[in-house]
Amino acid sequence: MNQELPLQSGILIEKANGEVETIVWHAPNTSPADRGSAEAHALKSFTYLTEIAAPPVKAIKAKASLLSSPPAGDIRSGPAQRGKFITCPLTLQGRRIFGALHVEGVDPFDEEDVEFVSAIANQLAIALDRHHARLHEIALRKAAESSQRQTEQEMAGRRRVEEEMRELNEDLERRVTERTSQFLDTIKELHAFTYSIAHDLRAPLRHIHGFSQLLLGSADDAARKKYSQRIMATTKGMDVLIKDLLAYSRLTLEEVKCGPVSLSAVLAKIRVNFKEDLRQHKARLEIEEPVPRVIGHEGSLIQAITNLISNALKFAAPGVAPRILIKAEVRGDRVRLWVEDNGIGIAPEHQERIFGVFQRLHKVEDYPGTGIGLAIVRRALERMKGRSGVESQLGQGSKFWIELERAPENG
Amino acid sequence: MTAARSVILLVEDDPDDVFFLQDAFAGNKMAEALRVVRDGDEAVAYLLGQAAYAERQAYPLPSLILLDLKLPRKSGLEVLEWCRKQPGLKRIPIIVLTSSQSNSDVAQAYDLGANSYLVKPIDAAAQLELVKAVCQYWIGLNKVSELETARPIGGDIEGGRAG
Repeated sequence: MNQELPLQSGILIEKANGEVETIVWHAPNTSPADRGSAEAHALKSFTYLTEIAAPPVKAIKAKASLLSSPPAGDIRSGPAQRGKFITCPLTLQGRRIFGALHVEGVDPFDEEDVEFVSAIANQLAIALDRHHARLHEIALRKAAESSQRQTEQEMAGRRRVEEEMRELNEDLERRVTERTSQFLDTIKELHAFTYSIAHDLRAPLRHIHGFSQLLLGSADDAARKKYSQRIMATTKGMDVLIKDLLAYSRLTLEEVKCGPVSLSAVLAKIRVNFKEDLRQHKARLEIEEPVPRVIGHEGSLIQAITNLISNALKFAAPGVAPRILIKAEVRGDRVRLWVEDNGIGIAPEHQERIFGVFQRLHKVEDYPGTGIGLAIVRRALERMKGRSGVESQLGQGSKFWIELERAPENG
Repeated sequence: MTAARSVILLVEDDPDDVFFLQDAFAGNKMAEALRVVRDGDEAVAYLLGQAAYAERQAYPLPSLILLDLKLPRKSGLEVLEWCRKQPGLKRIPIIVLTSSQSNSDVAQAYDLGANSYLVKPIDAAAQLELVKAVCQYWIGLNKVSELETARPIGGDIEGGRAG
């Protein structure tokens, strides 16, 4: 081998985009000028090599001056040698040249050097080819993976959309079922309501008719007076009934907007309204403070509590002055307002029934009323998302209660 | 006619209705056959011969029951259902006499064993005619099963009175 150490050497590789990448090693003592010329040489040699490789004959002619002595034999299968340069193409059997190994020395290279560089170039070509193949494979795999990932993402997306659609559908269906059931309840209620109206309003009409007939056919003044009074009493009763029915239907059909309400203020208003009634009944109404604020609707609350107090006054035990105690009980996040009386009480088996429309426990002569009062209480509480009930024993007074959500105590 | 011995039990809470019916019965010379109870619980007490109705001489088992449907406490349909389960009472003819024209009430009443369903007329003359027809047919013509006992056994009376 002629050279102990090549002055400089380089590898030129054509990249996929057509650019040529150059890696050049210089001997430690190479001057900058030599370095520049070496790189230019390397590039030139490579360009030459690739050109002669494509259309070989023409290129050899064109670039022939570059070489001091054009190498013998097939240029594509061996190194190009020009005195102090050896440039070997990086290629594999039957493939295009994709790079070059360029070695530059101080003294001219001999055949042995050319063979040595050729062998290295071959190894390098194989290594690079494998490397490229692997890169290609990796790129392909990546592309495949990314496409698979994309498909998976798309599938997941589609599944999500489908799931959302299904949930929406289910939600819609549930809401339709819910609404339908509410709707059917309302219809059922309206049906019962109309039925009751037909029954309960027809009765007083029949009586007015009957008494009018008797009035017309009677010559007895006392009897005529009695019939007239019956007619008047009946029409009055009918008026109360219609008023109650309207109150109840308002609660059923109208929207009730709930917000924080001061029960204390509501009770104060009610007490003022009942002043005369309490005096007439010689009754005592006691309100135990403090009474918390609740979430409700003031008008409905006044109506409900008024009905409970009216009942407490009405169903007083004979000969006993009514005593009514109102007090609040905090039960978690809810407030239960008790209206307790010392009246006649209610047998347990009737305690649910009394909250229905037109349900009465007593004969009209004993305790007048339309049978709607407690139905109004229950409905009013239902509309305020509350509850109502009673605890009682016959002859031991009644403890009616209404329960609502507690409101924050500010303001 | 066996009218002299027969008693008709009217179950009616409305005092005006009672007044008009009593009038109509009087108009048909049947006033003394009529016994009146004012709600479902009282009807049960009467039929069982309990409390105020223990004296069977004064409150004999009726040959016919006129039953209103809308009653305080136990409804007419509840009384009807209860009655039909009582061995000693189940064959007593029961006529529902009500102002309800609701189809479901009519159907339920027959399902529970009512013998007839009549709607209270608005006119006094029509009421008189209705009472006459009821008495003629159900007391005069209709053959009832001989009552097994004067005082039926068993039965449950609900609660006490809240008044």
